[in-house]
Order: sequence, then structure tokens, then C-alpha cells
Amino acid sequence: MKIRVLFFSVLRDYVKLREMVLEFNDSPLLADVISKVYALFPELNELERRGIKIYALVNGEAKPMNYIVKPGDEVAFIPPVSGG
Amino acid sequence: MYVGKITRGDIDLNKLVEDIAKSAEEGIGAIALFIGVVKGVVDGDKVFSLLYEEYEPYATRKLESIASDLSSRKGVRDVLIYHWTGERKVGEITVVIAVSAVGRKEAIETLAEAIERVKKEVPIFKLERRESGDYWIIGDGTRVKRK
Repeated sequence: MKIRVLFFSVLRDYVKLREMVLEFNDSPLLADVISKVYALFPELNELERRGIKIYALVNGEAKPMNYIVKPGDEVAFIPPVSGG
Repeated sequence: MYVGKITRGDIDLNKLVEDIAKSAEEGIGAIALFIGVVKGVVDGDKVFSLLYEEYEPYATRKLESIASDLSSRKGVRDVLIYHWTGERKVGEITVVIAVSAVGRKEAIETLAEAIERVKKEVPIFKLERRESGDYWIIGDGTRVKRK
């Protein structure tokens, strides 16, 4: 199963990507998607050490870590928003 | 009426206020207006522009939801929120929020809440282009220099 993953703002500087597709054998938990992204991009830990929080949204919404990601879901990694 | 929109174009503020003021006949006595602009100096450093990016369709949905939510408050009639995207130069408008209500208290309090919610809830991000380099603005003010 393929999951579309997006990165916004300062996160793009660290992962050097706007988006990617991750492949899983079964429907992963949101926690599995996050673990895989952090394994691929340990640079994200550096950002968190600098005090920047990172959120993983599913289809634009916060979900619990045990949320089962479904085909067609989109997971976006974002820092705190900065509208206005 | 409520509006929550991401825009790149111009807005006629006089017309916007005139349109909202039409509801005065129905008992509306106050219109509160917030206009955000790009500031030209930050930490003593010259700013050239802000580069906005939104996460769609969720940014528009959230703007609409905030406007809808606040417009249903007691004493409030209209809540209109327009947020610009793309590059905005110093002095250019970045956000316009207009609230009409029965009186000034309801209008001003609702406007203040609308501004806070737009800043904290809508998936919009910005890059500040300054003389000393580009800085990501994280949350309500933390700046991280672009790598």
C-alpha cells in the first residue's frame, strides 16, 4: 500500500523534498509512518532538538498515533503554523 | 454571512465595508476590521517580503470553519476572512478580517479571536526574506535561518 507524504516549511530544508510516496505491506498505523519518515530523515531529530515541534497530519487533521492509515490518505509533516 | 478565502488578488476594502454595512438596517451597529501588512524591519534587519504557502484544501476549509464558527456567536452577524498567499512585499496586505456585530464589544472581541485562530489553526507557512538571508517563521515568531 502506498502513502503520500508531504513536507512543509522548514522541514523541506531538512529532508530536501516536498513530497514522497512510502510503501507498506499492510495498512500502517500513523506511528509506523512517522517512524519510517524519521528513519529515512534523521535530520528531523535535529530540528526537534532545536525546539521546533513537528506534527504529522492525516488529510489535514491531527490523529492519534494508533490511527490506521488507509489507502488514499495523505500524511503531512508540518511545523507550527504561521498564518497572518 | 461568513467567508474564509485564500487569495492572490486585490480586495476593494471600501466595497467590503459598504457591503457589510448594509446589514445596519437589521440592527448591526459595529464593524471591526483588521488588516495585517508585511513589516519592513525585524530585529533591526531590513525585510524585503514574506513568501506564503498554504496547505490546500485544508487551509481554505479551516478559514471557512473559523469564519462560520465565529459568525454563529450571539450578537455577531458577518465574519469575513481573506488571507493572501504567494509573495507579499513590505507594506502589502497579508490578511483582512472583518466582523460585524450588534455593538463594538462583540465586534472587537470576535475580531481578536479570529486573528488568533487564523494565526494558530490554519495550515499556512511563511518565509521571511531579509537582507541577512531567508528565515522560516515558525509558529508566532520563532525564526529559523534557511539552510
